Amino acid sequence: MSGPHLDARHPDPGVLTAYAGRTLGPVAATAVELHLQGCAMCRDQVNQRVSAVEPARIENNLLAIAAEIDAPRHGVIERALVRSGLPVDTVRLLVATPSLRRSWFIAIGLALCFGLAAANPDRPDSSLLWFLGLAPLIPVIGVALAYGPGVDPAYEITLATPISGVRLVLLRTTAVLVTSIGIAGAVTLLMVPRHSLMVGAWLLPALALSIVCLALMTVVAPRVAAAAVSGTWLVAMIGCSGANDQLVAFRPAAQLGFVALGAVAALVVVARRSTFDVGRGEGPL
Amino acid sequence: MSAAAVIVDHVGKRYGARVALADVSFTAHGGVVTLLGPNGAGKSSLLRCLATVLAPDTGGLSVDGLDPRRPDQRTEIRRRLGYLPQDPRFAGSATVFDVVDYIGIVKEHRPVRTRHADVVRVLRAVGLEHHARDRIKTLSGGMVRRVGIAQALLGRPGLVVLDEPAAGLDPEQRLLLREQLSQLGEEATVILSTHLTDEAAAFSQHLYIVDTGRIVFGGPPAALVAAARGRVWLAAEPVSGPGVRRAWRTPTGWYRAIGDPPPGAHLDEPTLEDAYLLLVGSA
Repeated sequence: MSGPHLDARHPDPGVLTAYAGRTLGPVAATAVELHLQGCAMCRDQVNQRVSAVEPARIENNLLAIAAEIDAPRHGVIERALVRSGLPVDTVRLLVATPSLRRSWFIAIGLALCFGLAAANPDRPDSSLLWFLGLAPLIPVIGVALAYGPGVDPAYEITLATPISGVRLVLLRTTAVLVTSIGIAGAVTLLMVPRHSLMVGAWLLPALALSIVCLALMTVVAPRVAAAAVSGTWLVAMIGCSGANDQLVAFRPAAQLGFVALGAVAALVVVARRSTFDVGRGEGPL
Repeated sequence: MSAAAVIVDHVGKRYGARVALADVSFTAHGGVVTLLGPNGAGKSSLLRCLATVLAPDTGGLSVDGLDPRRPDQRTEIRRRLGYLPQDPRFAGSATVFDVVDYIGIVKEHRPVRTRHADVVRVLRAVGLEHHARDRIKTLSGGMVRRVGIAQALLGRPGLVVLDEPAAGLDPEQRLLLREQLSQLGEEATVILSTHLTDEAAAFSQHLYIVDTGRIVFGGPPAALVAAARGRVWLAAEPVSGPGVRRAWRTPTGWYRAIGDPPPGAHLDEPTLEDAYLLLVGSA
């Protein structure tokens, strides 16, 4: 912005407006004040502008003060995430994920306890299959419960906003994967002494199945996608339980297959990402 | 933001075999426009198309010349939009402030301080400023709807789409809503729906009546009433007949009929409800 004229000429109207609105730089403001000392007409112009600007500014300041008072203090996890460097708005998007609520964590805990309780020390492969078969489904179900009609209460309102649907889905999916895999991973560590590192073989299937679930969510409703993925997986696990090598689905060759499956599913998600931005046309959401 | 120009051009929508919208067209630019019609008439489907959450099967619509079928233009429309769905729901464990602030985030309103001040402004507008820290699950249905209205007002959008905004509100809150809509209509295009005739007349000076997926009337309420003049009757005895469209007993004990004159009846001045029933009944 050009500075005000320092001679007897009057400052531009825009400069006077900026001065009245307190948006003028300190040097330019000093120059205007010098001019105002000797110019009644410009003082009058500034007074008019101040009387127009002040009420709006006072109202905005009052709203800002009220917002400081009304804004609730957030939880420990949310504050920790902000301190870790994540943007405040991103953290708000993450903590609003429906499947990150207390009930979800309780469900994960119960499911894994069930898996552990079912473990039979006399048949280590069989008990390991219980765990490896169950653990990948936790993030899959979490992903399906993270976004979509019937799951996210504010889904339709969110859909009508400019935020990218795929960004929101991926943010929430990441949050679900981190927490689910974190909890299941902790249980895994407890099992390592009895079952060796094979107990961690659920990780790649979990990631692959989650991405497949996301890919299916571009075609069908999230719950249908999760049911299809989980059902197929469970059928496969039942099939494995009757095989000579019950853990065949978790051996290195199968792990490579899961990497490939995840990669293909990721391509589908990228190609069909725009489907997360529109509602489905089959009826009320 | 200035009032958005809305064009709905021969829009059609089906859910399987059921026709929700059939060749609907209208325009709006500023002011409050009310869609009035019975339950299941297609009002919500039309509003959802306007809110870009539902794509029409046929025809098209535009907001300020932007086409929601194009992803980039759809995003731009959403930046100018405030939307209250028919059944607004929010996470029960979240506070009122957090819920509205969350919608501000997904509406890309920044910086945080400005957005928070806007949250307070819209909560004041709906009379919820003293409930900012209350959890959603502790609110009544009417208060949750007011939260829904508040979030739709964030950022002073040029197009405000409200599906049944007065449902569940008490008389005092309805009065407040009327005042807000009146003010809002001066700076934005407000399109709302209701199935109650008294609300329709109170909310706006221009209404469209939607019945079985079609617009069967468009104009000011007075024009609708005028069209029913000469077709509303009062009788001391129960009335019936082939030309009588509807008849009912009033609290005063008289029988009111709309349609052709029944025997022994005398002409009465029509109300908006009479005119509406006459029109919807004939669709």
